[in-house]
Amino acid sequence: MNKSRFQHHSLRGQHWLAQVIAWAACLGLWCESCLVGRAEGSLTEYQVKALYLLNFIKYVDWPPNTIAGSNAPTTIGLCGESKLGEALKIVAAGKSIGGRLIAIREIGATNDFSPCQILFISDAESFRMRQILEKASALPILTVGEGAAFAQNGGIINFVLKNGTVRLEINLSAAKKAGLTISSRLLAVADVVKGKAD
Amino acid sequence: MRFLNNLSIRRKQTLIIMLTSTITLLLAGMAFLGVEAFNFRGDLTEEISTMTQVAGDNCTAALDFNVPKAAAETLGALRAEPAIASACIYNQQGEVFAVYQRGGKSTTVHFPSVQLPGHEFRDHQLRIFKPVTMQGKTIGTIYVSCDLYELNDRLKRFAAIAALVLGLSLLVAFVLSVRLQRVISGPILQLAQAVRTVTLEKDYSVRVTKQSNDELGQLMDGFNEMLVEIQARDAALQTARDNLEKRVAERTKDLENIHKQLVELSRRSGMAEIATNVLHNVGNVLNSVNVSTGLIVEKVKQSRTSGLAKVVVLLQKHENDLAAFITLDAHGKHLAAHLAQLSEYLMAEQGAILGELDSLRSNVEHIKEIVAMQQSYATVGGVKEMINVIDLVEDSVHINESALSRHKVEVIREFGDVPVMNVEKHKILQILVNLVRNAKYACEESGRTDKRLTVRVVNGDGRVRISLIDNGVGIPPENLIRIFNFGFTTRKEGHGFALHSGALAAKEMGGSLTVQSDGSGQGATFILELPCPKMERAYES
Repeated sequence: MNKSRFQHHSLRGQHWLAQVIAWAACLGLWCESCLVGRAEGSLTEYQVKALYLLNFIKYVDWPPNTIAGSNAPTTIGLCGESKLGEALKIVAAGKSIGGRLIAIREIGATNDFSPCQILFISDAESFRMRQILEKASALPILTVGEGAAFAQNGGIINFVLKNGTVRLEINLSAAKKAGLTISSRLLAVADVVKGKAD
Repeated sequence: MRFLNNLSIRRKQTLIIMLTSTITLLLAGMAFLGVEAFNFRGDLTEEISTMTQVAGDNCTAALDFNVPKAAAETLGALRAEPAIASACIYNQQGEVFAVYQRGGKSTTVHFPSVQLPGHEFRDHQLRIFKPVTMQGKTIGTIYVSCDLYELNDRLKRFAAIAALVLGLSLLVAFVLSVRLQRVISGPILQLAQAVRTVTLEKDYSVRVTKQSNDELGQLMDGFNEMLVEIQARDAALQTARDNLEKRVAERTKDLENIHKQLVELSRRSGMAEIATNVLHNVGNVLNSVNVSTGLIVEKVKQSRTSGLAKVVVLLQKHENDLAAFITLDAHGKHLAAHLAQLSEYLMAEQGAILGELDSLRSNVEHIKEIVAMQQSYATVGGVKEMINVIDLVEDSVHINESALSRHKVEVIREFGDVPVMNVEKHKILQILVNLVRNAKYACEESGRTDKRLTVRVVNGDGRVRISLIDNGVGIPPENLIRIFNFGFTTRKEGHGFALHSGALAAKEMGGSLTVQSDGSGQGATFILELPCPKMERAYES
């Protein structure tokens, strides 16, 4: 399969190739729709995840007044080192979703993610995953992870690789706890899982 | 239209009304059908568009998160509308992302390449393309194709209802037309009936009753007036005809009287002719009688009986000396020889006179015969006798015999076997005598030396044909046609009556008198045909 071949390349660490493609896409087409439309067809896993991360904004409703000011950007926090960060920066650059621009914030050890609406916790941070989730779960933050049992452990959405494609797991009770409403359309394309706490 | 012309008014009217109704209803039905189809298409387009829109909206997440299965499931909801045959979602690149087929058929439907939003009706399908948008951004396209069988069903249903309505309407129209057309066809039919009565029964007293004051009413008034006029003329004509009939009857009576007189005249004339002939013959014979008488007188006058008287005187004078006288006297000596000579003379004289007397007697006998014949014909007309016509032919020749022999006309007889017939003898004889005499005249006029008259009697098929063929002057064609006309004759002393009355008489007896001639100098043939009923022949045999 075509897409699996590209994924294969990227997974082997041919990062430059993915970058070239991504840049070419940005320069040549310069539109979100192209990138979204490409989906996983010829994108790397992290490009796909970056796109999905942006797409979540469309299917999740945050409690009112979560974001101060109508012109304030939607903030995505990145926790831990990940290729996703770079891909996200490229994809989200200059883009507005739901009338808001996208701001990307690196979350260091401070764990100060309170201004974020979405928090991505990379696999690399799995060691302190529980700690972060514990802190975030009380806030109206959509927590997205990519580790095994992330959703079961209190994360709201988890990226899962299934047959070479990126699939979603959603913990509805966690979302509810965070005060988020997730669109049924999104639920329809995801696997709803239960947290261990439930 | 020609076939229409042969229909009755009533039928025609019904037909026209029905035709008009049918066409009107059909047009209305078709218009409704068209509107229905148009509306249905609009409704269907709207309905399916909505469904498409909803399905597309429900597929946004599937597109966004690349889950074709979820999209397929969403499309599966379209089975709620059975008319939808197939549907698919295209991604941003126009590739088929997810598909739906009615009944979950596994056969691959060929989906068209992605097109601009819109709908079209093609191949009995409604095809809709709609963009799939998420927050104002187009992220894919949804395509739905919907069968129009429901439209067809609906149209069929509509057509069925329309047909039913049409049928009922026509029925009502028919009943109405049958009732209403009487207003028009009633008077016309009445008129037609009246015309038929007038034509067939010649009854001009028929009148039609006016029922309305329209053109038909005027027509009926006109018709009635016309009949009145015709009746008046008819009456006048009838009067004229009656008068004419009376006049014709009178004239006919006059003519009949004249005819009767003429017939009588002709009969008498014929009789006179026969009588003339008879007298002529008698005259001829009397001539011979006269000659014979003269001869006898002369003979007797010149008789030598005076010589005998002288001998007697001489003998008385020598009474006393008779012997001496005979022996001595010079005269006496010759007395014996003289006496012998005298007796010889007287004997011869007697013979001659006897001969003349014999001739005289036979001539007188002949006259007697002729007179007897005339008497036998001079009987009252109209009496029929059983007779052989050959005898009549012979008689007619005989009556003319002296004239024929005087003009040296050779008579050739060709008589066939003819039965005895019951005929009016004198009429036939009259005709034949006239014909024979005509033939004689014709021969005489020609001046030829071999004058010939052939008399032929042939028994034909139920008819006896008597032909008199002469080789005389003949008859020019222009005279052939009028030779039997009354008053036509070519002879100075003729009165043109005999042939005319002969032809009439032949006709009266059920026969005919005809003539044939090849022209002047070619001779002529007169043919008298008489009916000869087979019954009489059978009776004879």
